[in-house]
Amino acid sequence: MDPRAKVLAFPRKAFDSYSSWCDYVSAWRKLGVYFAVTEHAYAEDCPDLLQCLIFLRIKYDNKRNLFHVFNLPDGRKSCGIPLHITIENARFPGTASLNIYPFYKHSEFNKFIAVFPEEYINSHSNTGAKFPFQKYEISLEWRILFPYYSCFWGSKYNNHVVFIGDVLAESFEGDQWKDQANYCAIPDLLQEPNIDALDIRVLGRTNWWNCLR
Amino acid sequence: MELFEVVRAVYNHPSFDIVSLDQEVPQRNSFMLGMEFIFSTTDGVLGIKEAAAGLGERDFYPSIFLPITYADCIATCLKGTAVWVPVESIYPSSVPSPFFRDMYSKFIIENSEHAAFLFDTYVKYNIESVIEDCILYSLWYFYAWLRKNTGCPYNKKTLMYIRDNHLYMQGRYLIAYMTPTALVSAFFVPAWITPRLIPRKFIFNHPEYFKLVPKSELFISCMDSLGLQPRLELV
Repeated sequence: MDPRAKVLAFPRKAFDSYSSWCDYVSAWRKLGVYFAVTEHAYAEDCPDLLQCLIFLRIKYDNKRNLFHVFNLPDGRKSCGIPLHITIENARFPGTASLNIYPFYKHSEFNKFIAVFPEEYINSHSNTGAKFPFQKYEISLEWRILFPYYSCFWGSKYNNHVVFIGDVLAESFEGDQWKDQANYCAIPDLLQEPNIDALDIRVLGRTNWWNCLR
Repeated sequence: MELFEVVRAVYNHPSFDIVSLDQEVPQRNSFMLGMEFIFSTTDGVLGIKEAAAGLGERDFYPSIFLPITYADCIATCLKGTAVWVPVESIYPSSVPSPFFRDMYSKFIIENSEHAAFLFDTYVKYNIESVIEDCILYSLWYFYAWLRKNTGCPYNKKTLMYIRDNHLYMQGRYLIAYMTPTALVSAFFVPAWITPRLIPRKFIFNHPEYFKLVPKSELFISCMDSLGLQPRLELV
């Protein structure tokens, strides 16, 4: 990602427990500041800062746990688009800006503007369709439940805190989103030989207990 | 599949089917079942060194991973019946290995046909509660094994407490996660239970057996395992 991009990040200690989060937010509220935005290049090399990352999945429908697969140019398969949260207008690939204030127990937002990463823009679906968006604005009802993350991620310091965002395919127009061949179930995807490493981490959080027969 | 092989589950959309003893395992979409014990502390986890764990896999275990075999499931089902030694009577001196299944292995081998029947008629259809029980009894047994290897005090009352308060059941301190090869049930021994099982003083006096791994270190060195990324609800 562009090192100049400014990303939302919190001290790692804020995610130690729910009470740590409340302590952190209370302390900052007194100062009238709710979040920290820092340059990606700095945050990436800082083990004590956790960058907030959305793992955006496109779900086939409400009934089935099928997710759209993106076949990346280097051969990897992924079902979630990683997007750093930014507070400024999203300009750099791999960032998403949310109208989200303030960061407290939970933060709701209804507008989402993303600049998708290059590799996803150059990806194709299982049926060969091209990635349809360059920059995308979507209205959706979703909320990030801080501090309830899905997992930590990062090749060097595990310094990203990942939140999963699912969007129903019906939010988009076009045949690509309606074709079930472009979707995959989580266990199938996990066993793909070329699955992306972030996907393994995030999808691994799926509770398989509910699927035992 | 053999009795002492790991139980496998096959993903047949949209759910997992447990593979019977007499079934072949398909190449794709098959996952092994496993359990993981994480001994939480107030600031991280209690790691166990090979001298204490005796699993023969590596020098140090930040968490203990044990595969669930068919024999584990059978042993779990037959606990405490008239035929079997009640699990409450596990004493460290009688423990030959870290695995609960070994307590009943002779009987399971001698009654393998009965075991296969039990697996198909009971275990497969109650797999969730069997896994939960398997975790409880394996923890119980592994603890006895630790006691045997290290000489730490054996606190049976706390084991009973875990059982009687259902701490080992889903939604309490038990979470599920998946890897490309396994379906894992991870049991977080709560931070207030760990020192009751293995007293702090004993841990500090025996660095050859135990090592405290602080969260700050876990975040960086041991985060490949999802089991070691504690869910905030459990902290």
